[in-house]
Amino acid sequence: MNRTLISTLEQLRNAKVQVLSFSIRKQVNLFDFETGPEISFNGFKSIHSYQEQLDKYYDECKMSIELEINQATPYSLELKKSLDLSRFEIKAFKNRFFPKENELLLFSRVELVKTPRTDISKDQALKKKY
Amino acid sequence: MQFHFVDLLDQLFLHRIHYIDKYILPKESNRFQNQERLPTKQEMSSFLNGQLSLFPPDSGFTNLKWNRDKIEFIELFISVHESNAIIGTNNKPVTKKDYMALLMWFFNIKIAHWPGSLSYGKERKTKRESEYLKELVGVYNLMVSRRN
Repeated sequence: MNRTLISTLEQLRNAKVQVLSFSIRKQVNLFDFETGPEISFNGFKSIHSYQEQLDKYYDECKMSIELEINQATPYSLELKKSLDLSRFEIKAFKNRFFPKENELLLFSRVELVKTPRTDISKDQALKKKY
Repeated sequence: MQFHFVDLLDQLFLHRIHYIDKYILPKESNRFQNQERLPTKQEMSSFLNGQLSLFPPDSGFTNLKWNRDKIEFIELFISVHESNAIIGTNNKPVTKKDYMALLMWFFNIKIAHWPGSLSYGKERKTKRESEYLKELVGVYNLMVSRRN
């Protein structure tokens, strides 16, 4: 359970916003489209796909706890201790990376990456080929 | 979204901790108490006095035996039942059949058809009164007079 939780928290630590070099045409509402650079968050190009990934992490944590509860019935005091410690880790993580009254710290974890635009007309390999 | 997710994780762990407290730990603590139960002061004193354990753990029977006639057994306990001295813990009446079956088990006595024996006793033309119950009254009075 600890391994699953640690890897999940490790994933939540990242907030990498990447502005990609190419532009895409996105539908803003039913009638309007907007052309702009493609942006990804932690490698996911839409909120929906990132939410799906988070759901997956949640299910993994849940399964891992269920497994431990089912296996460790005779030692449930030990299991309770372990769950208590895990919960402390979660709280500590929340206080550290998502402080309630410190927006500056909250946004300082966001890493902005801009992929430089490559000019394909200057690419030597392409020039040779065509 | 990430903040919400951390909150969800926190709630998940909190719920499981409460779940263990509510459903798993009480069961285990009961089991532990049953396994490790120490004898009470009274049990210890009975043991030291050499008294019999009335409910031996390795047997389905008690260590008590009725030492008088069967008809006296019926007269005594049917009278107790008729006087409503014994009722169920739910305050409902106890059936004579169950009551007698329990007492027969308790005193290790087998009476094949106790209602028949009782009717026979009641229908006697002479000596319809219970000699045994009269004797009990005498025994009690004697005991009281001895104390005085």
